[in-house]
Amino acid sequence: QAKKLDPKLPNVDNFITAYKIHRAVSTRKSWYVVLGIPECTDSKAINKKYKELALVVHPDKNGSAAADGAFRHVKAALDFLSDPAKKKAYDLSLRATDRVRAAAAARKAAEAKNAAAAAVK
Amino acid sequence: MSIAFDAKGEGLAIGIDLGTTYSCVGVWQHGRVEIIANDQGNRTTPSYVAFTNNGRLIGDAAKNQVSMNPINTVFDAKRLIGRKFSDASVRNDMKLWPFKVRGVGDKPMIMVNYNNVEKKFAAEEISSMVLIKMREIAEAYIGSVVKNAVVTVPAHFNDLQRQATKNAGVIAGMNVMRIINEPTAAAIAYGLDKKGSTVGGKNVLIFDFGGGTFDVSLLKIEEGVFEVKATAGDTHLGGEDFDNRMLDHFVQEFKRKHEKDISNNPKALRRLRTSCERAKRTLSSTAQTTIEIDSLFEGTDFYTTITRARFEELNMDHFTKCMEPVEKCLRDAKMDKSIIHDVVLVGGSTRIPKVQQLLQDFFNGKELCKSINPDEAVAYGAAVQAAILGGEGDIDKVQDLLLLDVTPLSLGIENFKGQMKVVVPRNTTIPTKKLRLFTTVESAQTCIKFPVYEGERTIAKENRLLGTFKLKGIGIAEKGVPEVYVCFEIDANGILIVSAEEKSTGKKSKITLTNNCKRMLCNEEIKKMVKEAEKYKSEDEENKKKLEAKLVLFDYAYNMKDTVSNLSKLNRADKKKIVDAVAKTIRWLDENENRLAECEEYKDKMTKLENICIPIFTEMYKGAS
Repeated sequence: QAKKLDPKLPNVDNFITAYKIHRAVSTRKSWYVVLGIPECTDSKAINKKYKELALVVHPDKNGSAAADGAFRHVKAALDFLSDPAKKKAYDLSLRATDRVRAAAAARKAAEAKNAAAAAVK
Repeated sequence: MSIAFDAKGEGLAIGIDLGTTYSCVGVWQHGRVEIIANDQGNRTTPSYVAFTNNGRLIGDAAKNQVSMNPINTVFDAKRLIGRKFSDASVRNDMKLWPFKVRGVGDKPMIMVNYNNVEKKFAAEEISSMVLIKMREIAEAYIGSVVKNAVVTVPAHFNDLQRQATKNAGVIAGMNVMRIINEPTAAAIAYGLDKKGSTVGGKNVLIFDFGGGTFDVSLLKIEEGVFEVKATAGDTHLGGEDFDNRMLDHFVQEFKRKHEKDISNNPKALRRLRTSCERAKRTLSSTAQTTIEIDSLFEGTDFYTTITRARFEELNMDHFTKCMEPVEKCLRDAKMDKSIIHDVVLVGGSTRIPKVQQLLQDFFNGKELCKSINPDEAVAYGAAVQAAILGGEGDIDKVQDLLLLDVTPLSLGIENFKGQMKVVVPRNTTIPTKKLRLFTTVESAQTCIKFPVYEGERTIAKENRLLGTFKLKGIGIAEKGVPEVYVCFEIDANGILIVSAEEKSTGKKSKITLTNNCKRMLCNEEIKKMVKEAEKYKSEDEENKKKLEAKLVLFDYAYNMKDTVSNLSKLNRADKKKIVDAVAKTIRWLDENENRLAECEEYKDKMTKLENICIPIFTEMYKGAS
């Protein structure tokens, strides 16, 4: 919104990135969402993304009040995901929840279909 | 809105390498770093402050007169800053320093005689004087007032030493934008122009061996991001220690040869030390050198030679000690030495061939990187960081550059068993914030004491106590029930703030540890020191004016003496009048050689002399025409 108001305001994109990170953390999204990358990304890409984000949200680079916290969250995400054992377990659990969610969605869809079929009858 | 914006309009920001023996200053201008030479044309300035009867001297002027005035010339302030008087290192150093140090409530204070008054200075004040000098050097070059600076400290400096260095900046009337680590700064100097070649990341080991401190840092440099992986070092090991060994060696030799002990004569020791420093430098390029000092002690001359091999033998334990932190650093970073791309040498002591050889051997014969200037690299990096923080981000070169530094020592709290409970482990990226849950050990306990320590030992007492704080008013409950969250927050300067909060009552307690510690300066003390620093500065200016007035009088008197002796036209009586007056003035100047008189006095003498000379000359020229 701020961007629309004054497109010339410097570093607005950076500010927004910092706030996005905070939102991801406060809504308990996965570490991958905090970093803004697809789930179960490999560690090389995670490192790369961390460097990119660090350049944007580190307090030296980002004047917004959110920068300090955002940087810490990003670092926490990296620390967590750079432990191979933890990452593996975390990825598995993410996949599992995904599967549960997918199954639930499929069931819902099937139910809806059945319901629709029943209604037709 | 941001720091970068605030800093604008306050002139350029500079980077200062505040060294133990030498300091260096740089500035980012016209898209590159300029290392600034001082008024003597030197690009590094001795970290020396001298107190004489003719005023205060800082830098080259102070070091040049050191053998005349050893007990009132202060150096090595960096070896005192942030330390306790009772520290073993302070005790040992005191034996080697010609100036006096006294403990005031466990804070070491330097005692000097200034303008015939006994004065005491904190190490922070001496460092602030050096900082002021460095700022003046920069201001003279830039041509405008400088307010903001980035100051470097050894990576292994602890919390108190960092805070004290920051205070030195405050006393100097400067805004210290950031305290950065010396090896990290040097890494910028190394990596700034290599951005293209760091795709995929480069592991770089910075070996920073200076005049008083030794640091090793391992960094990963990748496309402008300088990430410190681990750091290790010794805050009390450097070129000066080699000088001391050599000095000791020659004192013994003098005793043997001449049966005289010079160890209680500060002047003789100082002259010998200066020669030792010179000999040490020479030995980096030659295999043997001589020391020749006329009339060193009681009229006895001292002529001797020293070989490189002997020098190495004297310092071998120091040299081998340097390899331990290298190993520790690699271990902490979980890296093998084979994947290090470059080993970068920084600091004057890395010129010593033996040090280079040991390091090269350690890395299985790897060629060491000597592409950066070892004396200037730290100031260079500080200047770049100053430009980044100062908002000169319009320059592409520094815009996408970022430093990610770490804490050098683990920080934690002593638990009731006397163990160190680490809250922030060493080599954690800063800024950081860590929470730990603590609880009570007795039922109905209402107060918890948190002794905060810094160090790697498991028994808390063996680490360095930074300070103790209490959380009072905890709600009465069974033991182990109250939940107390302790938060350690480390800012980008590496300075720690600790706070604690109890969940149920919401009681809070927050401290910047250093303010709570007795041997640190409190705000009032700092304010007082700032005022004094200003006073000294105006005194310096006053002294400068006096000195100028003195020189004008001096010049005039000698000029008259010359002129009169070459003039044949002058009659004898007039000539005698002038000669007498000039002689009187010169005598007065000689009598007051060790003291500066008021400007008025000089001006008075000047007018008197002129009143005698000018009428006579006017008469003479009238007669001639």
